[in-house]
Amino acid sequence: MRTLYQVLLTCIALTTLFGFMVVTIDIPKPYIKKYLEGVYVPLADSTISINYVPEDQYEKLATQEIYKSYPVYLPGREPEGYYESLSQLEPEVVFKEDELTSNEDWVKAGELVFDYSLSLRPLDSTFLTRLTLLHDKEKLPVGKDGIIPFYKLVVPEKGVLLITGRSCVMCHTKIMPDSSIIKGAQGNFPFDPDYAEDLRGLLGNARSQNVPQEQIMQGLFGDKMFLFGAPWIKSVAQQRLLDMSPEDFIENIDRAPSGVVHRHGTNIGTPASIPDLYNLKDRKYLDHTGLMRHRSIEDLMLYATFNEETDFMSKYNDYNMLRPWPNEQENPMRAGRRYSDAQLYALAKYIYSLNAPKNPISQPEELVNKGQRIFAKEGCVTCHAPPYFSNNMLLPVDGFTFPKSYKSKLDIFDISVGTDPQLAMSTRRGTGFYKVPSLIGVWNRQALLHDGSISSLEELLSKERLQDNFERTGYNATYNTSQKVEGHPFGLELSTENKQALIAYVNSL
Amino acid sequence: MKSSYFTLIFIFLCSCSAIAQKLVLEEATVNFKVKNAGFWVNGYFDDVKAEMELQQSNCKIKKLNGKLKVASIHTGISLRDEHLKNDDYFDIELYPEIWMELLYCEAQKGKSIDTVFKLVIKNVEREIHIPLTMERDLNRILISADFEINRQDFGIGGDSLTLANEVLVSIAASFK
Repeated sequence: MRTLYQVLLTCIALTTLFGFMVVTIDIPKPYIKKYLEGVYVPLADSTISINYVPEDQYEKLATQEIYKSYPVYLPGREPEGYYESLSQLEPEVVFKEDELTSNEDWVKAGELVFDYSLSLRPLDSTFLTRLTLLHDKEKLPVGKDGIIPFYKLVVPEKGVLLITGRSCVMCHTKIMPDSSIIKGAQGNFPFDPDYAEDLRGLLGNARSQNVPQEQIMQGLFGDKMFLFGAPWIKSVAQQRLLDMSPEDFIENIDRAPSGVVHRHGTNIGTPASIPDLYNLKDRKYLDHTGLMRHRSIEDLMLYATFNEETDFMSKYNDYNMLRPWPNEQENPMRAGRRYSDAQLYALAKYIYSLNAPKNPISQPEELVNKGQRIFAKEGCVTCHAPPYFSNNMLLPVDGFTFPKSYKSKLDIFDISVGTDPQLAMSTRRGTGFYKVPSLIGVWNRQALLHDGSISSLEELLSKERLQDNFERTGYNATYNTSQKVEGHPFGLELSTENKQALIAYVNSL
Repeated sequence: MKSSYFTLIFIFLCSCSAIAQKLVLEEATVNFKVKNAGFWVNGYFDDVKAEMELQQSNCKIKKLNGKLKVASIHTGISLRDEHLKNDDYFDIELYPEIWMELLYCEAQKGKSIDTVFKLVIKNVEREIHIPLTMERDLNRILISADFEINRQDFGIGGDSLTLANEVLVSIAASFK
């Protein structure tokens, strides 16, 4: 009896201890010198340093409360009385780190962060009209039951309805042809056409009011610099940014097809294809240019916090592109917000949990096997090495010479594949390198190469894309005199049958 | 008089056997293959020079040297060839040539000859045992050899999940 009592006591003690250990999980603190140092790969012009907001000032940024959110519907598809019923709800904070005990809890909480945003705006008719307009133009896909998963409705106080803004979910969520929703994929929200529509409206107003061209250019200058400015780079691309007319600017934005976005830090006419987030844990570099390293979960947390808002405050040597640091603001409330460490940790856990869905269209096994052999024989396997189908290395672009010392600091595969170097050389995100992308889940990407200039594997393997008279289906800037897509010259000489086999294999990954 | 006549013949014969026969290279190929992801990648160098001298010694070869220009590498993918030339692999700016020199040879049965060569790649010297085949074809001497090296012994590329360390080299040359 005494022994049984002792066993019971031991069990209770262990359970208590175990439970205590789970509850008091150490939440990493990423924004400290230990992780910040070396997280950025040097820029292509290594005399330019990125001076991010100092740690003590970062700490002072307001953190974001995450309230329960509700679906956004395509206007007319919402349940009857939907908005009225939401306006009757009390606010409910749903991200509560004290209640997160298991890994599953953290992953679920991370999805809340993924869906949320640091900036929210009131729900109004302009927003709903825009959704209808984009949908009518066949640019905005809609999920089952009319749900638009790129946005959420939030009730921060009773009677107030806000809409989420820029968030992870907007770029990394795809509505499939059958209306199912896949998170973590290369997204298909029409980010750029939406922005172009905004600008077009503003420009139309200005023109109708006879606002002088110079004044319009000045007004647009803010947007240009905020998104794409890198005045320390003396290049045709940066000069073009300054000189481009508002109409041309809008047209170049509007041309971005599904899966392509002119995100901040790229340049006009040099957008980025949106990466999917699968197998991210195994990737060493983030961004097409490998701008940030991924050495641990703290680095992913840093990537998230920088790209949400904190890098708006980064200085490039003396250039302060977007926002002053909080201590330089007259009104500290304008300093921006950030996610808490717990929210960033949950977000990273969620992203790590994402796995690429299998291609629902199965290919004949014999064809896939043949394609696998071609993949190896043609040398694809060297860069796109299994198991991640990327060797996790950085390739220098044409025109970039890196110091020899980089070879011991970075993972460099020292050959250029000749793709357009502008993103790597003429932008704030430019390191002079492109990373080798993983091919896992490539079947579900509609924008290929770093700039989305290619829209299918068939096109990538087509010799015709090297010809001046090639007609692109991917992104093409207005100023390009030719539509040809150069670089990555692999597999172009394969027979049609072998190309089919290779594509079947790659689409099976 | 008779004895000095025989002495002269003896000296003549001796000198004949010691005279080396210099041969002129007609053609040479250096092929290699290495496994990448389990599949063979074949390649070759097409700028190869070699010199050979024969003599009446045990293996008949007095001298056999060869060198090749690394820039003449071909693997069927031009970008890969360019990559192989830079300092991750052959580093042709510093080490434009690969060369080998016969150190030792011993005739075996038939056409086989056991040899040891000094092989120099990227300034790394290794003595390697190479079983050589030598045969006459009309007025030509044909030699061929197959051997294996470890690319990492010579600093050609680093660790790789897909690329094997073992490289099979196949040499063939004809001399006249």
